[in-house]
Amino acid sequence: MKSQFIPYNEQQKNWDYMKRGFAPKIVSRRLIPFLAVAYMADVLGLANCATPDSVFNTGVPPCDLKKKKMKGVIFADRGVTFSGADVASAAAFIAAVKTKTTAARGGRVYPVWDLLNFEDNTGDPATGGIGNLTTATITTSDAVPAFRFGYNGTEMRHTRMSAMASATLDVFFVDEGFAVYGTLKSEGVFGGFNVLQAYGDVTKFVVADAVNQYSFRTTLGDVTEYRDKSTYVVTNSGITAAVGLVNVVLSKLSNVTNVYKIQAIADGGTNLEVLNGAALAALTWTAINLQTGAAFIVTSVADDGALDAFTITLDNTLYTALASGDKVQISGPTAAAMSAAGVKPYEMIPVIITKP
Amino acid sequence: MPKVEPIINIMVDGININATHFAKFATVDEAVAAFESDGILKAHNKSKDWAEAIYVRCRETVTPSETKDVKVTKKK
Repeated sequence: MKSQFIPYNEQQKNWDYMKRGFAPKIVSRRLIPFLAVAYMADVLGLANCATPDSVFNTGVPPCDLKKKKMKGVIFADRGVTFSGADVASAAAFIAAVKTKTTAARGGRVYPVWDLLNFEDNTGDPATGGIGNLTTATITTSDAVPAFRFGYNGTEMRHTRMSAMASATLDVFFVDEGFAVYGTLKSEGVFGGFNVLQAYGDVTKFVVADAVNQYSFRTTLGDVTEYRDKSTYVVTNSGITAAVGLVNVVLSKLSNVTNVYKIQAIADGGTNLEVLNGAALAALTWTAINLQTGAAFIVTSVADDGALDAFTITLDNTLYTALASGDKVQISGPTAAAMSAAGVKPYEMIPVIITKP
Repeated sequence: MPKVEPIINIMVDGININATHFAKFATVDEAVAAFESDGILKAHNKSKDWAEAIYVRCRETVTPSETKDVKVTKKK
């Protein structure tokens, strides 16, 4: 492009616009040579290296966070996220986590706090050559973040924990400073790292030591989430009050036609009726006709202290209509309802009764 | 999971009664018969008079706007 004589004040005006980040107002033949070159580069689709589309920098922020030792793990059902309101303060976030511990499955979180051992099993990234004219190697694929956690487990609990292998999960990590590490799922949405695999190791007898006697492993599914989109919420020790649930297996003790005696025994053998019978009897119990999927009416519930059980009466009209061998699933109160009534942290596992 | 109708319960003498269910009966006789056939009266050693009173409470709890002038139709 021929250089054009442009009056000095016009040149100065364009330069001022450039310095302030604005596109020059004057185009085409009125551009000074420098601007003309830049304009031509845009028009011809060539890379404009002057455009700052990278966030790379090396400065030390005046306030930042450094990871401490691992303190806990919060598994979450895939897709569980926290909104901007949830992370507005440590108290708000802790409250949101507590609420999600008793949410219906699909929206629940599962904290694990009693970690004893932590191993970072993330390997080195794969490298490869770039040509036969050089010995240089570059990183060709990222290492997949993978971790092993030893915890203060017990047999029944580890059996339940090992069911993580069939669950679809995300995961948050919590360090000793109670910073909760996750990833930015979208603008203002805080979520867990996508879990490719969660796996419970076999339990071990104590030999010389008890390291990893009870342990589980987590392999993440997206290194970009972990490396490039990692973010965190700084909380406090109050977050450890958000605990996972204990399974309470409902079982049939006996029945007289539609009147069933049901026991609620937590993992490990604790019968919940003994201490919480009145509270649990006052909550809503439900049932389902497994043949049709329709709701089956529970007409009354009562605490039977003599048998350490609950008297559940099913609607006799519906019960009479069942055929011999038909099944009804009886469910206890929800985890959230029990928690609100002070019976926590439990989840009742339904019992299936079969009409004789 | 099927869509479950919201259930309103009332506690009477330590017994959790499904008020939503019993409030649907049109007459007290039908409700008392249901209490009896469900085994609630036998299981908890309760009378039919008790069942009548509970039925009225169920109606008052579930449909308070309709029970201001509850007329409990009872066969003599």
